[in-house]
Amino acid sequence: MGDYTLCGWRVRSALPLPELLPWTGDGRTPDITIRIGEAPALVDPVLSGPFLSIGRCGAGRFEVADVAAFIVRDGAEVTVEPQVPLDAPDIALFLFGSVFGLLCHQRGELPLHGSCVHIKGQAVVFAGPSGAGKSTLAAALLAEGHTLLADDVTVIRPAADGWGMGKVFAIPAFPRQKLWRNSLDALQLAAGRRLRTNGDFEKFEYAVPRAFHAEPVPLAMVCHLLEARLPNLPSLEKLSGFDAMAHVRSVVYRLRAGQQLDGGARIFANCAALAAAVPQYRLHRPAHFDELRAFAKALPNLLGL
Amino acid sequence: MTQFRESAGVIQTNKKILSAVIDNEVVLMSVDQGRYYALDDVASDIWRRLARAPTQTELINELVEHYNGDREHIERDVAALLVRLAGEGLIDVQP
Repeated sequence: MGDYTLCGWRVRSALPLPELLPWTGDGRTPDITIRIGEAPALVDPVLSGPFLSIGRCGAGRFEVADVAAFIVRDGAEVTVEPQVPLDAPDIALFLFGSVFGLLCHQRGELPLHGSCVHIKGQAVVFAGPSGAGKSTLAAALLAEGHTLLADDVTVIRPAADGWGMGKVFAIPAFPRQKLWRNSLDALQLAAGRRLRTNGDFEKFEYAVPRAFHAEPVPLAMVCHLLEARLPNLPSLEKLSGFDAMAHVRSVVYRLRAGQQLDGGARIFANCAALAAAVPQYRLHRPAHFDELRAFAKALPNLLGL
Repeated sequence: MTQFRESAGVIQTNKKILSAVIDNEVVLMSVDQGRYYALDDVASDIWRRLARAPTQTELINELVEHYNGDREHIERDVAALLVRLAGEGLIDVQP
């Protein structure tokens, strides 16, 4: 049993979570409690898939064959029914993936599928679907001396008095990245634990204890990552209006699960508010690793930071 | 189509439709249907004017004055837009 910090929440976990920093905040009761227990199928779900189901009360259940089943309730209670040892990396992979995403939606947070880097006092989210190059670009920026707020999933939170220009924050998650073998090799980084015990999933942990920024940072922009297919394309394009909002919506993490909770009204409002308050760009990143370092070096300047 | 030839009814936005403004563009969502709609500049302007529940004649008078345009042209375009908005359940026309 340990108390940890995640996005400013106090997390009490029966599972060891060495990914997270220990809780050093106030004496509040835990915001999120992770228990070991039974995680049976939900009765009469409103959404039912092989991996995810959502119940009428907004509870969610994830099941990953040969790893674990998870039930997530009220944005506060996680029950894990493991089929592998508690410290297996496979459990953490889904706990900090889909379970984290659903917790965010249940708590009314906006989680983006993106990695977030602190560059010269401002936060930039590099967003996109799996394979877009989010984590690799973040790692290349860390190699340039910038610091990480979150890898793969970034929580975006407005100030207490609402969304507004300069009042939107990227929230730190934990000092660890997930990187493919070829990204680690290209950046000459040492791989940590393999994220899946079995199979040929060549993705690894990469701890960044000294390159982590543990406080919220004003969000300067969201860059929607695309691989450059043609040379000499303008590599940065501003998005506006509905286009900007549609891009935000497309990178809401676990969008379908989030929309099931209230029909999508909250996500609509949050995506519109974020698109209105924070500039959205399309950023073409290099297709080849040999251009990555130079691209990362030039990027703050390109972004006007 | 014919309902919009009548000019006496008050046109109102459907209160169940969510709306937001991004860079002056109005974006709408029908929660019931889970659909998003993006309005162009002129349609966004018209949507904002519908907040005051004008009759079709009042709306057209406002637009003719604001855009200093040809009345017949505007009448035709507005009728076509209202048919589309009503068809998607985004507005209601009170008799």
